[in-house]
Amino acid sequence: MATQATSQSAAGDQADLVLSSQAKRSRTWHPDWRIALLRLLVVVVLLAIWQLISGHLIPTFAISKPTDVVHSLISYLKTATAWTDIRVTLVELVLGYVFGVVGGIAIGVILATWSVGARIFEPMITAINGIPKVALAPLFLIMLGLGIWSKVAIASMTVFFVMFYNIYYGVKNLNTDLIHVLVLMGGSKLDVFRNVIMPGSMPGIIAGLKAGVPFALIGVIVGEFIASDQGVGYYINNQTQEFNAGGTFAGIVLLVIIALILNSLVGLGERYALKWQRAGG
Amino acid sequence: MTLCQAEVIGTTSWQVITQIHRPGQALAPAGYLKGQRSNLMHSQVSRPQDATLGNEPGRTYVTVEHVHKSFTSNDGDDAKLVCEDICLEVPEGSLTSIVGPSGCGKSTLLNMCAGLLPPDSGTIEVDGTAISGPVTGVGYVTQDANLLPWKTVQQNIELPLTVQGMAKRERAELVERWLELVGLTGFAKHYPSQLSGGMQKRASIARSLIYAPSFVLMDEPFGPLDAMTRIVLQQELINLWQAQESVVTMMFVTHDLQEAIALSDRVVVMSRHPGRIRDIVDIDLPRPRRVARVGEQENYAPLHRKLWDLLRDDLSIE
Repeated sequence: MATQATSQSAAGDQADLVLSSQAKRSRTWHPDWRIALLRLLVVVVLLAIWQLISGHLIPTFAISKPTDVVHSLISYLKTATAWTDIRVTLVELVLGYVFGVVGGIAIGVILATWSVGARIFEPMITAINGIPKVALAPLFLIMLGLGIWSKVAIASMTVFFVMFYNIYYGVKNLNTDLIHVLVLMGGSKLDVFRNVIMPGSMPGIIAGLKAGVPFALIGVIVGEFIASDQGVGYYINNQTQEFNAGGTFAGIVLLVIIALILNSLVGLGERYALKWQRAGG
Repeated sequence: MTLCQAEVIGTTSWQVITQIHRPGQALAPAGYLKGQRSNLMHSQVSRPQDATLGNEPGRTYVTVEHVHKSFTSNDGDDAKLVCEDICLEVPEGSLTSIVGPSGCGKSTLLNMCAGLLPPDSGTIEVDGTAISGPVTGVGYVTQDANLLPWKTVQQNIELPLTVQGMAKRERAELVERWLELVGLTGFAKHYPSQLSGGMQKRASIARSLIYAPSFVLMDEPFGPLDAMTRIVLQQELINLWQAQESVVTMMFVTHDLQEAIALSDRVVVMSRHPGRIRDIVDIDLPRPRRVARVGEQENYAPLHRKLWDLLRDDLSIE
């Protein structure tokens, strides 16, 4: 008798699941491809407006125009220095990002689980975070020179703080009952880490990874503005100083492309790591 | 867990973890640990529960002696006495419930028996050994299902087995059996967020019992469920408890007098803060019990009245 009642209530629960997913489907009455098309349309219209304004409402040398930008971009990419610049910037970005991410996760997890350490170090970290990275850039230049390492250092710092805070608060807010559940069933520290802390901090890690990409980019480009002899930021700076707005925008376009690629890579990681979050009513 | 307890334990549970009490052989549950093959499916052994109930004096599994517990507020001034001079003996293989008004320290007592909280004074012995940290190999069911949201139902239920190193194929067999027992067949690959509250609770119970712990603690496990589901799950729970080959001692915190009478062998009644044991009432209803029909039993009304009278003073109702 008990099992009959059980399977009936299970069927009732199943009915609830079906109803809620039907409700979801009916809400999206604009399919994805149409939205993408509309987005493209908006971009094209904005470019057209830009092209028309330039030279008529606002001087060309100030804002350039899409055709000039494309022209500058193509001629830039034909040179060998362009590809060196791109490579250098990418290397700085990736290294800075990776160091910042690894450091942020490590310190974040350690301080979130070591309360004494947290009380000692977290205020220090917050204090250092308060210093504008831009002000620190010349310092890194003196310490590490004109090469890639000064840029890597700035980027790592900016990424570190973003990652650290996301993970620190993510892990601290983990439900301690889950940890107790593991301990009481005979789990070791490693089991707790693998089953609770690691997956539980994933949302925080992913949030930090996504937020970190623009920060890494800022760090690298600012560093290249201030002191560099290579890189896309260096190129942008040069073009600006030569009043070549087309070149400046060309460099910015390059940066946007790089950022888009990095973001989509992070997005792939998110899709895999957080599939349990998306599953759900 | 209540807010008080969170303050005591602190924001990190490494402190809890580093005090893990690795007991001697005495505390290792019988059954599936240490690589023993699952015998749930094949055994014809008679059920130990049938023997130890009634008037048989079983040995004492849990002894609580003169336990006091206070919680201090953050500024350290007010020490609120939550449990005062608790003395309790829980026989092996029995199902004991703890009832009392809100805030009387029932959950605190349960957590101390699980080793999650240290008593301020007094000792607690589980299976003959005084405990000094979380008791491992214990089944613990909380009010919230506390399933790991990033694992599927199957992975959650088999978690104790995974942690103990059981082989994948054996785990799959057991999980299959338990999914059937708690009525969740077909939901193995779902994530907890896709289940209703009742289903999550069932999965949580399966998780706590799948490795046949000898000691199971439950803190208002059916609290958040609707009345119908509650009755169904209560019945399932005692069915499962009786079906285990090895002897299982259960302690159960509840607000619900009907639940306490329907399920347990003894009911411990606690008083309002500071929490003291007012009385321990034996429930002499015959087993196996039908939860939905327990109200029809002859002895039910006097038992209910007795328990209610004990609690009434604390509740200031006529």
